[in-house]
Amino acid sequence: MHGPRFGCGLGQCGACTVHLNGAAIRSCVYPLGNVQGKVVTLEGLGTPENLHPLQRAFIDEQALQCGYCINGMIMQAAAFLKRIPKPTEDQVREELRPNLCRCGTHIRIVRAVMRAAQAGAGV
Amino acid sequence: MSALIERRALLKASGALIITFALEPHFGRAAQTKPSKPVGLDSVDSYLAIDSEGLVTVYSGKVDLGTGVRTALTQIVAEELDVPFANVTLIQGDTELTPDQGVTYGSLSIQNGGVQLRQAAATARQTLLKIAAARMKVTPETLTMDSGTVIGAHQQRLPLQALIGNQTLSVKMDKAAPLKNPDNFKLVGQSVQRLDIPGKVTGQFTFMQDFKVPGMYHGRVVRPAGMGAKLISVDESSIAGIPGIVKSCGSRASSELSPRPSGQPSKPCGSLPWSGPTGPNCRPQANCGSTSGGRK
Repeated sequence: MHGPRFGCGLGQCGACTVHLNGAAIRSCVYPLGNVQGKVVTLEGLGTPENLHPLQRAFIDEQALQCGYCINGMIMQAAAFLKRIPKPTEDQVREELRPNLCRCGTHIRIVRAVMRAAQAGAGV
Repeated sequence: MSALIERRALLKASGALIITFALEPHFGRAAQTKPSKPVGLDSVDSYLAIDSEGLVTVYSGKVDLGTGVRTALTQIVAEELDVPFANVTLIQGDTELTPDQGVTYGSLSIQNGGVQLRQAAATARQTLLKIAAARMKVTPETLTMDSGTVIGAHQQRLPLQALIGNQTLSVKMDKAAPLKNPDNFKLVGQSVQRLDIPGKVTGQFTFMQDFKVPGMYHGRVVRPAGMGAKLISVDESSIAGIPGIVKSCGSRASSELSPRPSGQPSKPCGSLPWSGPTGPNCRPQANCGSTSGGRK
């Protein structure tokens, strides 16, 4: 499994994000014993042949450089768009504020999430 | 290590170059049991191969650490050889296959590694044009290249693979081989989609951190309590009780080394006490794991 990344190991960077029952959680610090229900990783969100709208949007916007954080960006955004399908740019920024990216593709990431929202990713 | 197996399969499949060099005795320990290839910096065959379908495999000693040079280096070779971008595959950093182009740092991948690849492609181009010229009984200057095909003055066309057949280029790098005039660039300078991004957004991409090799150790940098601290002594016995611990090492700083699965956090490094000076810069570190350099 190559989707969730081990980043800080302290729940501070977001690279490890997965969905537990539809909510984005930091898998590196989430106790396994507390996991009850359905876990979805980036691999489960979409495949190269059948991309999730967010994955499509991140490709279209070329929204990553090294890509280590991008699992977290996409998984956090996917859960977010389910809650708020048509967010403002400020809401996207606020939601992804706790996800760290050192390469500096933030502007493209925000653009990609807005593009996916327009494509109906949250519906 | 599935990526490595795929490379081997690719190598076996990539026809001409590999077969020719399979029996060269001095190319590595496995020469007698499996195909091998040259990796010296002075041979064009070290950098690129053209297979029987006209597909180009490029061997780069510079790796992609996330900067996107895989895509850029592919563009450079496709441009200089006048082959379609999609017909070029890049293999990076496999020391059995790729020339040693030096370490990957300091923004040197394009300006050093890319320049070498470009010169290799230019030498290949020059060689292919000479072969084509002899075939067509014209001078190389009358020929042009486009989309993997040499084109004569009277529109005769020869695909690259037809020019080398079952042979390799087998030429030395020629620093005087003419480079394409940038005015004629079709691909370099264009914004193409990054080759690695689809795999990275779908969880298919193998990051460096995903590689596991037999006997691999995991180290952890143990940092001092504050800036400016100097290591005075290390109490080795203080870490002896950590399961799987191998040893600590380093003269200026100490590391725990233990064989644990990748991704599993080390024991907090507070278990390895530093003897350091106290001073204005030495503040107690609540959680040393917050430093980013602890894992590799």
